[in-house]
Amino acid sequence: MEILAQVALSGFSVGAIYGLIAAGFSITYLATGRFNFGLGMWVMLGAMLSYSAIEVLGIQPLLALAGVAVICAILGLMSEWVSVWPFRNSDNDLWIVATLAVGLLLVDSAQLIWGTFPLDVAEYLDDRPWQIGTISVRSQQVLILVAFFAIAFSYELLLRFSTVGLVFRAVASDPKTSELMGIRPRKVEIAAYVASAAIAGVAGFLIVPIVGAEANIGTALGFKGFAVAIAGGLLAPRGALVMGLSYGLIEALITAYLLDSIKDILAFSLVIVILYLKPFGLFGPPQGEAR
Amino acid sequence: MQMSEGRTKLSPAVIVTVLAFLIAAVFVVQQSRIESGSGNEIKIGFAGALSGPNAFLGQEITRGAEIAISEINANGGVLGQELRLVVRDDEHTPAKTIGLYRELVEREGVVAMLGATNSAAMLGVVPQVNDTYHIPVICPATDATDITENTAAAEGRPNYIFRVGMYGSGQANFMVDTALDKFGFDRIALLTWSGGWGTTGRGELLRRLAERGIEPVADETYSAEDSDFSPQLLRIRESGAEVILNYGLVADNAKIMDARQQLSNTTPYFSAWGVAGRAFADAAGSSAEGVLISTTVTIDGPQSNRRQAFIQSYKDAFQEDLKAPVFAVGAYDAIYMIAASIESTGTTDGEQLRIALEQLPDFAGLVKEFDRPPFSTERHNSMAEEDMLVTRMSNGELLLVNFDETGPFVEDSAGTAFRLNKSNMSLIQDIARQ
Amino acid sequence: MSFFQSYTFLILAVFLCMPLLVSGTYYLYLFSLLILYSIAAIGLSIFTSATHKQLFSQAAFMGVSAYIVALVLQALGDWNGLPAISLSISVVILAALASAIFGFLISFPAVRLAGPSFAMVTLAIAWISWSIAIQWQPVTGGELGLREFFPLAKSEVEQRLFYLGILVAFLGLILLYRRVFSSAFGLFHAAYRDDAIALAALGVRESDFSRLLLFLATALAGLAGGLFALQQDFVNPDSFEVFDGVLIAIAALIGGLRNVAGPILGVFIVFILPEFFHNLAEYRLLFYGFLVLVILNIARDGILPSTRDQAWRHKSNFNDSRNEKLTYIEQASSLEIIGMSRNFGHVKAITSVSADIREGEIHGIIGPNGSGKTTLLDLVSGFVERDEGKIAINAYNVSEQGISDHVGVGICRTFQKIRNFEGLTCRENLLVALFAHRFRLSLPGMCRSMFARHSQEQESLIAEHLHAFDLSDIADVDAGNLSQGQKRMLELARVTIVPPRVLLLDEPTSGLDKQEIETLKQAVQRCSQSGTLILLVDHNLSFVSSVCATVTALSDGEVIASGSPSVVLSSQQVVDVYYGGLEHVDA
Repeated sequence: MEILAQVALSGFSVGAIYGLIAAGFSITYLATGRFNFGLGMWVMLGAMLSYSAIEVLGIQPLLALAGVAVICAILGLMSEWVSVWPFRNSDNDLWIVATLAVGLLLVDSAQLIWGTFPLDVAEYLDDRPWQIGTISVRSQQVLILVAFFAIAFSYELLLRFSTVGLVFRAVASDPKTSELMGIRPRKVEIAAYVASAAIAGVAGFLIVPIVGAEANIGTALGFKGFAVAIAGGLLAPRGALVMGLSYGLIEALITAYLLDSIKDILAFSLVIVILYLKPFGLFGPPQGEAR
Repeated sequence: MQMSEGRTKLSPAVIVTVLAFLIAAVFVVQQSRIESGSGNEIKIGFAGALSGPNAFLGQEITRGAEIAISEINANGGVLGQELRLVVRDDEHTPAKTIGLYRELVEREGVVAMLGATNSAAMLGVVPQVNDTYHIPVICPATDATDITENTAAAEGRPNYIFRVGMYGSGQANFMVDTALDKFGFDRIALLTWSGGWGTTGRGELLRRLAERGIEPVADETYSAEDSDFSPQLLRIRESGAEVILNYGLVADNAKIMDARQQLSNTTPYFSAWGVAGRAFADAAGSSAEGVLISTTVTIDGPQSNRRQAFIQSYKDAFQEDLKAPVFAVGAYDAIYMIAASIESTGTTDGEQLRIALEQLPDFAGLVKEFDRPPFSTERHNSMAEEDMLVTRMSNGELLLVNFDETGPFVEDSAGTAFRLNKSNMSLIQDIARQ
Repeated sequence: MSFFQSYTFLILAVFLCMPLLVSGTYYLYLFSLLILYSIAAIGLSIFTSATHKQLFSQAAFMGVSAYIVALVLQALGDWNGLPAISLSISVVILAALASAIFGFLISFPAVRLAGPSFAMVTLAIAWISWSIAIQWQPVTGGELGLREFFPLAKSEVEQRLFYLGILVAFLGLILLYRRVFSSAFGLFHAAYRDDAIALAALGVRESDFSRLLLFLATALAGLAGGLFALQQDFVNPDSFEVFDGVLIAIAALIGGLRNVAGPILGVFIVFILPEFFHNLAEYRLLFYGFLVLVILNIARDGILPSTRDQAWRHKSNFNDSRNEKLTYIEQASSLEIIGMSRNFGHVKAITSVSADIREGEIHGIIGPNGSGKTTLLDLVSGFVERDEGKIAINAYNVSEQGISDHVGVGICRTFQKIRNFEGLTCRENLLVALFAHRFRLSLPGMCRSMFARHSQEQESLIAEHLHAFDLSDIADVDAGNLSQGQKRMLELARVTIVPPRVLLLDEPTSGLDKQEIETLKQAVQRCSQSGTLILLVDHNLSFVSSVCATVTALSDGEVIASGSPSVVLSSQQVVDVYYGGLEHVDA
């Protein structure tokens, strides 16, 4: 029981990161039908920038968070300009490859700037674990979960109650008509990419004390976040978040009760099975009704 | 559709021009390569990872070798000629390594090589080197046992592959034996990286444990890109293990240290040489305090004058601290070994060099000052099991663990001794703050 | 073969022979990598150019086959001389087949997926197979892999012979590629690329076709992987990482997908060119990144895009000697739609609609926007599954599901938004329909299509039909360059060249001028006279009342009136629905 609680805690805190990254994919897909395939590299970028800001420049974590989000958002926008927008009408989904190419640029640049060795970032609140009952909790895990629910909650509010959410949904369902209604889809698209890159940067900021800052951490995180987004349903923003938590938990359970070495094999096979049964994801629309 | 068709219509002439340009490029590059190849110098080749996650391996080897070569050249070179290191990036991929060995030997005319950074890649090129190229290759980094104990060696044919670093079976034997005999642990848990090197290491550890008649109380693996390791550590704690034996790399072990700290897991942690060096201390921070690491070289604690000189020239040359000394120091020694054998035979013939290496009477290396022949016809690993070291992470330094009649102790640079026992072996962080 | 093709082929052959002229084995090695990765990239281009989906798992399929070759050869032990060569060749072919079967199995969950999900699945497969290669140590040898199983290509002379072998195989493969792509299959491929739904509406099952393409792609990857294992005499997981699969995709994309030379050039740039810039190793990923962005931004379709040189355009000899006649389907005397219903979520699109169409009759469906007209056509043509209701032809129930099965029983349709194969000429558009009729509905049929060329009979049938639809003058113009009216006529010509039993027309008059509507009317009537039952949906009431014998009016998914045009159009309910809104505004 103690193990289960501990495993669940760690599963959920990793899953929250997957969920955030998946939300980053789903936001832009919802608004534009495309996304930044190399979003994992923005997570890496967020992690590296957090290292520089906090460990090198000694900036307060909260300020650093803002800085990281802004820089990631700006770079995300720039990448949208060169790797997504030019390919909006291409028939081979060229934006997938182009955004991946930007990701490669980021990885190599990060390796040139920060070197090849992993760098340590201290936990933001307390470097010592907290004992809660029988389980011991890292302050960073608490921070991740709190941030996850805060972001998930505000995302939900935004989609539901503000005009921003309405505009998003309008553009998503019919870009032509919404243009006639005076909404500029281009602006919505830019907003979506800014949000997506910023969320990825924040995910990097949150996870860096746990995984360390290294140029290659984005690949696996980004890919798992992507798998989560697809399995949850790219058109279902809540699906991405829920699926993220579940995916993290499943991974942790496989490691704890089955065999770690087959964890990825099992988890990815599960995603493929989900897509076989529900091609638009677990929380996506039923077959034949998606856009 | 229409537009793109019109815009992209290509005439055969354009395509032919493109291809012709490429053909010309190939030949121009090839030609210039041959021209630059002439000159009064002896070339030593190295193909290893210089990009990607393993780039630090290739970087350290290159740097160690460059220091040795510039020292040798400053002292007049070898046989009156300058040494030159020809470096290639194999991206840690065997297919690339195999191709680059052809290029370095056939087109660059290197007389000897430093071994690659990837064990699998080395295994891939061994037949080529032994059957066709016949030039000595000295490995500072790769530790798969079969690299030196290869087919040619088994069949009694000349074996051109040498090693100055750890070798897999020896390291596993050393770790298991040290844990059992020197530290007196009985209940052993394994925690290994499920990636390539870790899986191989796990196999070696299990083999040695079986040979010693010991059943590990836990056998856990993890993926390097995982961010959480508590399930494994909890299960190890439940098993009542007295020591954790680990095969892993810097980044994953740094994360494991955090998880140990979270769970207040003070089980002594004994890791293979993948984390030997300052890089691990930097990545893990204070939570790595007390970790035991098996290695061939540590540059912390009391050092010989030559080692100190090397550390200083590294710092001067590259404006950085030496972070993964095993590889740099190994490469440095390998270059001196090659130079010594060229000097003693007076030729650069591969066959002669191999024999000379096998017959070196002694070798004052940085890894170890051998007062015996480092190699023999049968033995191509310079380091034997008894030459390996166990070190302990203490205040960010990897201090050599010495053993006397009362037990293990470490000695810091100032010469202060600190006795180790089962209870303070792996005190997380607290020692660091004392 | 055209002048251009033989020219490129010759240049390529000479280029690939060059390493045989240089001493040493380094260039042999590089160029054999070029050939092997090219085979995998060409496989990818066959799949991606038609389906427009990214396939990132080619390296994984290479790995599957490479491991099979290594394991089998290792198990077979020492062989020498000629038997060993033929043994190795057959093992490679078997391994390629195994890889293709693996690909075919994976197509079951994969082909239905949209682009991004498909890309994700291919990445997941690459990851899974790489992980298995590392973890399944007793069989795969783990990270250290398998080695020294192919003792034949060791000395320099042997390596030259080996290279010559794969070079000949590669050039043969290119000739075979050209041959296959100048067949009916090649035409299907081009048609699928242009408009998969229109091809499905001719009865070619979309999923079967993309499954076949995936089979071919993975077979080629498997061939490359098997040869790779022989050439390396060593396999380990590092050669088949996820990133290697991505690189193969990048290579094919920047080279150009629609041309066999494109992937080869792409592989040269991505895999071989960096070999000549050793000093810049640290900037390798930067190089790839910039390269992809720059090339794709300049040349959307790659460096060597479509050469507009598809072989069938140049065929003047018709070598299909079989005197195969078009099998006309027995004509239908009635179509009954009984109690058809369909809901989308909470929206009732169609509620128990029934209609009855008799021999020689043209039946019109009218109704305001959103009344469910197009949904009704979608239901009858199998584009949308029906919740309830039956369709019966000659009083036999049509139990089939899906578009192509409906085509199989003779129900064909056109689309409100015209669907033609815009990259193909009018003549070719009709040829696709004839081929589709001959090969559709079965995977074996599609495989046979790889060896079929068009015949003199087909040619003259097409000429007749083009003439009947007034398209003779523009027979060799690309469908994408036609006027709206011509496009509509071409679409109609395409679905009627094999006379269907039931023809469904969705808004045939939209976008047409008066003259064109007149031509359309004649064509529709001609079609009806030849015995096809016609159900048409249209907004143009005067057109409907002039061609249709009976009319059904829909509102909010329900039938509100049915009968002869004059009766229906004057019925109060129809008038209310059509003009009621205006009166309310006025009031």
